[in-house]
Amino acid sequence: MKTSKFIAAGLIAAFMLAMAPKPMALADGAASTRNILLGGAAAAAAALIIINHNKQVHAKYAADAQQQAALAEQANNSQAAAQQYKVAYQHEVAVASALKQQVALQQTQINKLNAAVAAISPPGSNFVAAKPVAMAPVSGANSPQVVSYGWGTF
Amino acid sequence: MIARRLIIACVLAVGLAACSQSHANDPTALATSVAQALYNNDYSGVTTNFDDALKGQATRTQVAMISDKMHALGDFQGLTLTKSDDDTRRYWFDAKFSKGAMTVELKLHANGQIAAYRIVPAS
Repeated sequence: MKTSKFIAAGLIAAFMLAMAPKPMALADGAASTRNILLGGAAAAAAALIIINHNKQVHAKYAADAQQQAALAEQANNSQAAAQQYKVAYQHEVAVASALKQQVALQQTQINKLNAAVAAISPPGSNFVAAKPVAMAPVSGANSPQVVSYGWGTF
Repeated sequence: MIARRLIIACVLAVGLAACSQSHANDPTALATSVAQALYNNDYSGVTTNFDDALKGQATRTQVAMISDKMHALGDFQGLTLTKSDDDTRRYWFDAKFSKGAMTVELKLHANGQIAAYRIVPAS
């Protein structure tokens, strides 16, 4: 019961985060980059909560079924034991399926983040460029470089 | 009387137009307006005076990223011209923030449009 309340609260919080109006871009640029990704992250978090909940439920059912099967075996009731093992197997299949979903969702998030990083400095763009320091302090060795951000070349 | 009013209106209109174009002849004002727009995460303000090539390159995400870097240094306090090369129309500025500084590099076309604009965080 407590777990259900916690999950419900988490889901509500995640959906509220996803549905909340975005802060004015001009009001605070400090969080601007984060804001671009925030909506998607909140939706993914909600999906992960659901998947994780399903996984835990099926894992518990599988454990219960295993226990029932063991008890049935002890009572020499092979038919009931077989039935319980089948139930346990089905729940374990569901757990595996939930894990697959979780991995797929996480991969989707990774792909989105990769795309966001690529969008910041796409191939051929010099938005992020290494720039040699005008006055290197010492000769030889590796000349220090700094990064510049912007558009166009000098 | 009407003719005089018309002349005054024309003079005022020309004055206003000149004020609106004043950035084109003032690299510091131009660089400051772009820096302020970057700080405000204002994409259209950033690209207003960019040439067509630069307008095609700049994205909202890039503007937001620079805005984040600027906000990490605190309040924007303006630019100071530190070096210039009028022959190549290249200008360097020190951008001051309440908690640090950056270098801003600006290159202009003859028509006053921005050919390049880069910021270099202090190392």
